[in-house]
Amino acid sequence: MTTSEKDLARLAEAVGLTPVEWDFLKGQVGRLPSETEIQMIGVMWSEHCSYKSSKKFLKKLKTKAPAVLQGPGENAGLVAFDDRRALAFKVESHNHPSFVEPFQGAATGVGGILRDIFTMGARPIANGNYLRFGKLDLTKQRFLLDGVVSGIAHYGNCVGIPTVAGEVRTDSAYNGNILVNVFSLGVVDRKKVFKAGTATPGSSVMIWGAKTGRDGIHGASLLASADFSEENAGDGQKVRVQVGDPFKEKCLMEATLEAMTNLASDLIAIQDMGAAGLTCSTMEISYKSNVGMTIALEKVPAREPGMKPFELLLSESQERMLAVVKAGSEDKFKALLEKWGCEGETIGHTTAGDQLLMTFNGETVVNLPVQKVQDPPPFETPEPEAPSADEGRDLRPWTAPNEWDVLKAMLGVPSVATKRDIYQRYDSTVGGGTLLGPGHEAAVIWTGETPDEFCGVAFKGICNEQWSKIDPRGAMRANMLTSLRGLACAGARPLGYTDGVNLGNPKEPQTLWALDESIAGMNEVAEAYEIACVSGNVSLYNQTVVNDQKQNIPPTIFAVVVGKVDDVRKVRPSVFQKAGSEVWLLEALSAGNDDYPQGSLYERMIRGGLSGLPPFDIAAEKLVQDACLRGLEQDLFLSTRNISEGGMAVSLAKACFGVDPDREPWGFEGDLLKYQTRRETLLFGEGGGRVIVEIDPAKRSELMKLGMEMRISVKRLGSVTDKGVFQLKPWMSGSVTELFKEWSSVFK
Amino acid sequence: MSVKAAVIRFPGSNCDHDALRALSETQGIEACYHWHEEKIPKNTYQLVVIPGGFSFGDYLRAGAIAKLSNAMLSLPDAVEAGAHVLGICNGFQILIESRMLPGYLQVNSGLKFVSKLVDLRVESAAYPWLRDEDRGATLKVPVAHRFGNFQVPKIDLAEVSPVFRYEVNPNGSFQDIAGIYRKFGNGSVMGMMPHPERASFPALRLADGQRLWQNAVRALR
Repeated sequence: MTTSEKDLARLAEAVGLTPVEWDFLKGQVGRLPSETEIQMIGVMWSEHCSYKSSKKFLKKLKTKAPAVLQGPGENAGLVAFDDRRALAFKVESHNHPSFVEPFQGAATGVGGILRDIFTMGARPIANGNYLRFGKLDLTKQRFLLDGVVSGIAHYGNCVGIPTVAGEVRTDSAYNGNILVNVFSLGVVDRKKVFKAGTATPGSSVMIWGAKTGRDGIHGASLLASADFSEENAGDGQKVRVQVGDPFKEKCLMEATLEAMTNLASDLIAIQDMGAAGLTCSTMEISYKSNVGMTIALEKVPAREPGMKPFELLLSESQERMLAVVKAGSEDKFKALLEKWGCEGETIGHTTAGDQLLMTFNGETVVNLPVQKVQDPPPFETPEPEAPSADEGRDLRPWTAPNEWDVLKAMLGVPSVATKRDIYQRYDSTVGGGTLLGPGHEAAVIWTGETPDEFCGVAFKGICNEQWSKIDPRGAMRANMLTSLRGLACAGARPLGYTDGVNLGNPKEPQTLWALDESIAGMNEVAEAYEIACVSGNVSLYNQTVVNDQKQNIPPTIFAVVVGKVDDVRKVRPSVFQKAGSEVWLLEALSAGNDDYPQGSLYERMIRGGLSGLPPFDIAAEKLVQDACLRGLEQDLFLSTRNISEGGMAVSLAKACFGVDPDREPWGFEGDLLKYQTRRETLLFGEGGGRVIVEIDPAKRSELMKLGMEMRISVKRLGSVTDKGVFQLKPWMSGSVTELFKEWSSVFK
Repeated sequence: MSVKAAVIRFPGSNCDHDALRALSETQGIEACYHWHEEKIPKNTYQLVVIPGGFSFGDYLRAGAIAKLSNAMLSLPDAVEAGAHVLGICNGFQILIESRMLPGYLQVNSGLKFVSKLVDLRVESAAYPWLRDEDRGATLKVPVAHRFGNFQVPKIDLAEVSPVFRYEVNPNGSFQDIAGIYRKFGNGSVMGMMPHPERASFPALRLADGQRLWQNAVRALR
């Protein structure tokens, strides 16, 4: 080896290439790659960009279904919404940046996912976020929580996309590695979808939006794709976190959407610049379109003088796009971008063949055969292996403490407690379409347009990582069924879903086993509902240090299900509406009389862990969900609410509290004496297939008829009152305000 | 003849679509966008709405840059000649920055952005948006802002009238004031923090904002 080859090999190692990858790269290029090329390939072959450990498992995901117009692989997935329109949506993670710098990390996460949506030609209409923190009694976690929420609010509110749904849960397993997953959904005309894979030779390559600076260099390769621990998350990593400018994003979004409308025939292909900025976007367009590209790097508008080629190529400066436009039309785009205060610069052109040629002031710095170097060599992953079965399942015996005290304690658990103090910081009504926002079972956005004036979009995603800890497959089945039931409560039928995978170290066989199992669980549900996964994201190396040892986070996979509401006028809220109405339980899967509430929050509180999952059954779920949909169509319900974490007692209490803090909570008078089920299972069991509905007493017989027709059981639980008492005879009775206070105190 | 309405658009406006839709869907109103670089011509628009958002990013003070636009600089003459202006949220902030309305909007008393539904009490008539009969009515509309805490050292009731008060004050504003109104030449200027344009669609079961648009049609057509 010559000296210079040794230096290059050292650089290759420093940017994360393995010896096998280094040899493969030299072979594919047919010479020693340049320093700049090594830097580029280091990022392209990082876990974050190449999905090298997860790819072979992700291939097993069911990605085909009648509604799918675009599956995984583009900036976002697409499902057919009506004859004219499609929905574009995706979930993405920004975990490590948010741990290092919570405000900017979370803010740029929102920016990235919005660009994924509008790059497809879709106007974003709703955002969601799925967050995990460590224990909230730690000052550091409170700091992270406040930073993340401020960052999301700052970015989403300013761009003007309503943040309408989300999930916040805590577990000490996230103490050293929080999760920030963001979701966005947009609407696009089916005939006006834009993609990265449609470029043709002889066209101009333009960079749009913000100038390129030195921020975020190596964010994808060294921050998101490597072992991560609190010690190395210090100030040194802050330069790898990008800085967001939501105003720029808003202007870029308006300019891009305007260009897609007014200059549609001149816009050939487009790709947003996210991870690995200019590197990834030029290679993606070349690779997917099977064209070459010649770029003059000195033409890239830079924020500061003296930026080196590799800095220009690796910068993750936000709010930028790469567009391929018809030669000769550049000035039209420039003028349009200028109107919105955005830069538009022509930096090169596309060519026939597959060579990516980049020069810097006339000197060639990159000359790569894209088709040959896009993907890393086959990556050796360990064989998946299940963790040993009884790991950490040292459970205390069942006891039966006072039910009222249990309910109060549950309402103060972060995952159950109200997130009002968080979601009131998000603009949830901008856009003027929010029908059900935060605090309801599912988000519903009205998307009516003549001739389909009253249709709407709904979405929901949940993940109970306590279930995933012990059974990732069963957990994903239960999580998705719960989300689907949430959609049914809101009157929506599913169209597709997106998955945000968050796992630990992929070099460990148990991590890959969890991925494989989770995918199997999602596929089971997707098959049964004839839906598919259309987009997603994988975040690996999520670990936290416990007693000097790195521990993987529990498998945390956010499967966000998107559905359609045919008539938003039929949608009912998830909170009680008036005193005097009756509350009924719709149930398709009743627990055995002697069953304990396995897999519930109750079991966790009493026994310190879970012995298994609650019972879930796909066929039973479908029965109760169909009944829900039918009942809503018949205007039978005043409100509907899912039974999920904390069981029926928690659902009833939350329905009393409502979403409006300025209003007194409702009371509830219920009598459960006649039920034979074990009392803690009846009150706190989390088995699937159950929903509570509020009806006008005059509609009782209509409801019973619905139950018979749909082959589910309907049981009267009690009545809504305005007396301020929450009562479930014969076990508990007390002041609803006392419960409300517990529920409201956690995130203050 | 329909009532002509314009929605001024700044870079960073994000309630412009909502305002345009709320106006356009009101029978009798013909609404269009008006780009901030263009002057507002006199005697062209009967209604001018300055929508919410973050004009120019609001990185300085909310509305501090927008007030320097051609549209805002030419607005007083158009109002003098008879146009009726409604500034919503960021629009209210811009009107105050332009000194077309008195007082100032400081950070919410809770120091945080607040997004929720509020009940608004109509306190006075405000031609053409509100009539005498509307006094005492309660409207349900969303608020979503961080700088909505309206303060004023002294309110000259002969000149400016508080039109809306919050039933439950979300931001600490002076005397629960949510919106103010003044006559100006042949026209008028009204500013409010809550968003009537987001509460203008019966499909959402949130349509109290329609009252403003319908009244305007009745008064001006």
